[in-house]
Amino acid sequence: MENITEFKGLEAIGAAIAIGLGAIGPAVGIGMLAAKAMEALGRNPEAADSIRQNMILAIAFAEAIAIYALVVAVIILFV
Amino acid sequence: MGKLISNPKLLLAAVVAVAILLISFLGGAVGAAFGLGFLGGPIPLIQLPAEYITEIGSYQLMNTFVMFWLAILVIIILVFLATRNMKEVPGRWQNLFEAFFEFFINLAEAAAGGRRGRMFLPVVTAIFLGVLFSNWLGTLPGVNNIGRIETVEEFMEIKLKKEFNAEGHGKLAKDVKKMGFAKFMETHGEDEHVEEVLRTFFSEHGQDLFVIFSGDSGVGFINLGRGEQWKVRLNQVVALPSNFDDHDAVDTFIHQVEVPRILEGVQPDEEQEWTATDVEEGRVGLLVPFFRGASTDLNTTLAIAIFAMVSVQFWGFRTLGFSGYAGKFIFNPIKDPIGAFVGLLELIGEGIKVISFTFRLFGNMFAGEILLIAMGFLLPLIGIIPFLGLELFVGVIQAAIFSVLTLIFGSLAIIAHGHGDHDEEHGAEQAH
Amino acid sequence: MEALGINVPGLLTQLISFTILVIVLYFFLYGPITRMLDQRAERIKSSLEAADRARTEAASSAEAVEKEMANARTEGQRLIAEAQDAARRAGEQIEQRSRQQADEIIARAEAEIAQQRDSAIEELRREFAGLAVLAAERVVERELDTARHQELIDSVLEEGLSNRQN
Repeated sequence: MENITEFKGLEAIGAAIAIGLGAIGPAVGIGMLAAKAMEALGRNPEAADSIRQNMILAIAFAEAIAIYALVVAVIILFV
Repeated sequence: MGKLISNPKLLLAAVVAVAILLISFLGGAVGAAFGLGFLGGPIPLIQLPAEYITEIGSYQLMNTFVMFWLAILVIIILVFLATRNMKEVPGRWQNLFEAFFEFFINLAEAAAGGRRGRMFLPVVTAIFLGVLFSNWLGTLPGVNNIGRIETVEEFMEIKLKKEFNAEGHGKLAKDVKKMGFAKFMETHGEDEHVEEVLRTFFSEHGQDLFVIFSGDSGVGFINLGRGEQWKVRLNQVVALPSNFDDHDAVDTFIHQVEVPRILEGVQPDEEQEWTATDVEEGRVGLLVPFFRGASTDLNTTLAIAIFAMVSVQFWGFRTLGFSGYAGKFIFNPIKDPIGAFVGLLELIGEGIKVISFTFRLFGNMFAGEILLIAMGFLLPLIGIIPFLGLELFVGVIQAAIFSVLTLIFGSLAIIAHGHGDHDEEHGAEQAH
Repeated sequence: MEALGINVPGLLTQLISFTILVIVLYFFLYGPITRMLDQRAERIKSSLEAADRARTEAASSAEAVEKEMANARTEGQRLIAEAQDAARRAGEQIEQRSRQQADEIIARAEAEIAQQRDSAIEELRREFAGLAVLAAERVVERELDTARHQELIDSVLEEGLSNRQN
């Protein structure tokens, strides 16, 4: 019983660390992206449409990293 | 605020909204911590592999396949509506698809430079539509919460078969499949391999949660208002034979239930509203949803990713010729060792792109599904609404990313090696 | 792989499904839509060209109309001038003719008057002759003196004529 509980607990900690650490990079990345996009928007408000499109696309790429971390966490938890 | 008080309708709406929020909050997971949680349903089974609905021979018909076929059907119906009656002055659907195509034609011609970009379009637009509708159909009501009940016995049967196969006892696996779990235990219960496998199995899965469904139709729902008491653990329903109880790992589970044989005389818990009849009649088990978003299955995303990357290679070979395209990856290692190494890396990169495609789409959609479930538990009545909107948005974004990336990889593949170096680096940056 | 849910039959199923989707979309969506788009682009291009041509044609025809109008205007002005000229000339002619006629009439009248005067004078003369004869008769009745007679006659005539004329 103790062994199993310990094992489950370690799994949970592992999953939490995986998603927690994995989310740091993308979070910073998305923040920088958005900051730069806002800056660009301030400098050139006419280009709002293309800036928004490209920002969303780039954010999706950054977010994908966090998603990989999430997949790893989910695999740890459920597999 | 004064406006709110003076306008009775507005005030009423505000009161109702606050009441719904409060009820959701108390009825949900937070309220459950204080003994409320009257709206919380049983937690559905969250697992990475898709669930199968029926087995035809050894072929398993997965719920995600059904969903993918549904998505294809929806697309074909829309296409039929759009192209059934093509006119110079377009109707609603035709206009929609024309605008969609115009967008991709412009993109493709900009990426590939001129009309040859059009060769990407059939695959790229099909990827967009296929992914988009797979994603969107996954947010429909009824997806993930209506399904077949997989009884405890079936669950044990499947798991044991898998365990036996993994351990290399093919005959035992076949027997379990043929006899069913209860019968198998009666005949093979004394077998030491069975004992071994069961012991490790119970140490891992003894705490697995099962759901007690109401009704006796064999079709289960996950709905509101069942809460914690509608859950049961595997070791409460299934007990091991009494001659196992000298093993440490299993010991505690056995003593909790105090029944000698599997599925015989399951002890109804005083506090829980289930009986042995429920177990026997197959109302205790796991929900196997009939529908599950097609892109929450790695098979689907991997299939689309493979199709996309194979198409990219095909475009490369067709445009540059065999030696031209292969020359991008393969160099003479004696003449150009660095080039050979880089070429090898790029060759691996093509494989990495498949994996990246697969997990990007799968991860996003699977995470979205879990997010929806979590919000459904946290704020049962209304919590899901904003996240449904988010899911629709993510669905479009992921479809756009999948198709546009395919387009970009394709346009990189058809650039000859001599003057394509810079663009390739650029593309590689974008891909990761 | 098994734990992730990837298996060969599933992968094949989805690959085949997706391939079918691509093929169906290729024949029933990509083909018709791009054909329609190209057709429309072609048509817009040709209709733009036609409109361009029509515009240049219209421009040139407007120019022609302008020229025609100018021509007509000068022609009209010329015609008007001519007409005015002709009218003036006709007026002059008419005036001249009427003056001529008037002169003729006057001349004729004058001639007639002269003739009448002459005939009147003749008549008077005849009357005076009669008178003279009468006078002569009377004189004869008194004394017959030729010289005196002639003197008398002439004076009578002279008297008569001047009287008559006055």
